[in-house]
Amino acid sequence: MTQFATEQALWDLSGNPMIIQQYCQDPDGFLARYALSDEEKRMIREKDVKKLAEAGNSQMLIMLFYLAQEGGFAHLPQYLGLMNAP
Amino acid sequence: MAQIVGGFLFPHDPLITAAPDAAPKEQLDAVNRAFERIRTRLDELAVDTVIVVGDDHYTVFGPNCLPRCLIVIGDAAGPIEPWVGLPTEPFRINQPLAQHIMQYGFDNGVDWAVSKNITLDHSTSLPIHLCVQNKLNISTIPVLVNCGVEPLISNKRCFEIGRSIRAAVDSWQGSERVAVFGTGGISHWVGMAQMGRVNVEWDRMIIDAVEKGDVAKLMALSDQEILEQSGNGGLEIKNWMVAMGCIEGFRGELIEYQPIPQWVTGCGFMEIAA
Repeated sequence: MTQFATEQALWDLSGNPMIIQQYCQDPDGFLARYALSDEEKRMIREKDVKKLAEAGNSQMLIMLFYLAQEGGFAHLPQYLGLMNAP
Repeated sequence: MAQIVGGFLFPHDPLITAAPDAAPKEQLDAVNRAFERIRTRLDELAVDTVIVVGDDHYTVFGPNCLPRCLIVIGDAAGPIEPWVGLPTEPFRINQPLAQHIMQYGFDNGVDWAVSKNITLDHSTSLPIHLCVQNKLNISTIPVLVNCGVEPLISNKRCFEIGRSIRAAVDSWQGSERVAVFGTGGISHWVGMAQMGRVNVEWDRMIIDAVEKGDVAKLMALSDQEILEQSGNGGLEIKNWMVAMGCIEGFRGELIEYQPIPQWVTGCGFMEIAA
């Protein structure tokens, strides 16, 4: 239940395809490894990038997480759309 | 006796290679000419070793370990990110000089984190690929300072690390002719809502201060001010500060400046020399 745990989860889900695959197969089980609150788990599951940023997590890392989840750099416009949503 | 013979400050924007055609052609051409200028100057200065100062982008290092300053003394390759558009290749590392810089730091107040083997991200890999990878007579020494992820290294500490590097090179028994690259910046907002914004006025202020060798003005910039005016990517001028610390009494000369929103960055290229 810390920003640090959230950033660790985001980082783990940002690079290694095998880890990302594990997460996709069982998101709740995967996130249970981390000391996350229910709201923090929701933000990660729903890729709520704006709330993740408002919670103080590294925005560079949030972007890397989102792009890794969505399949690559081509999804940057969608990411920025979410970050700039009212 | 080894000596630092030149310094260069320029962006490591991964979109330069990941999406070259996203930039307007005249700006792409200007950036390519700037890189060619740096390559030419390395030849003119008869450089055989380049110290490349960059910062990890929460890519190689995660929350489990965030080195404040790191020197590569062994083997290195890069970039680690496949999307950067460059082949992941091993780099030629000047290991003896790197180990001397490390030891000099240990003996004189810089507690380097040390990498014996690392695959680097684009911050050091892109400059190495574009400037020296094809120059077989030049080896490199990658250095990372933590200006990308909180807790951030201070401006003052970056300058001090640069001074330690310079003193180490000056005391080295070899005859290397060393250049230093301060990479990154200038304004860009990585992953932030403003991503794509370029603050030309801020970038010009930074360039002007470098041209004048105004270290005091640059040192006085707070992290908050840099962040607000030039984004989290703008904090990479701390990499520049390491390079500035390597060259006592430097002045800067502008090679090129191109504000390129399509590459989300104010791309400033400078040479610094005493």
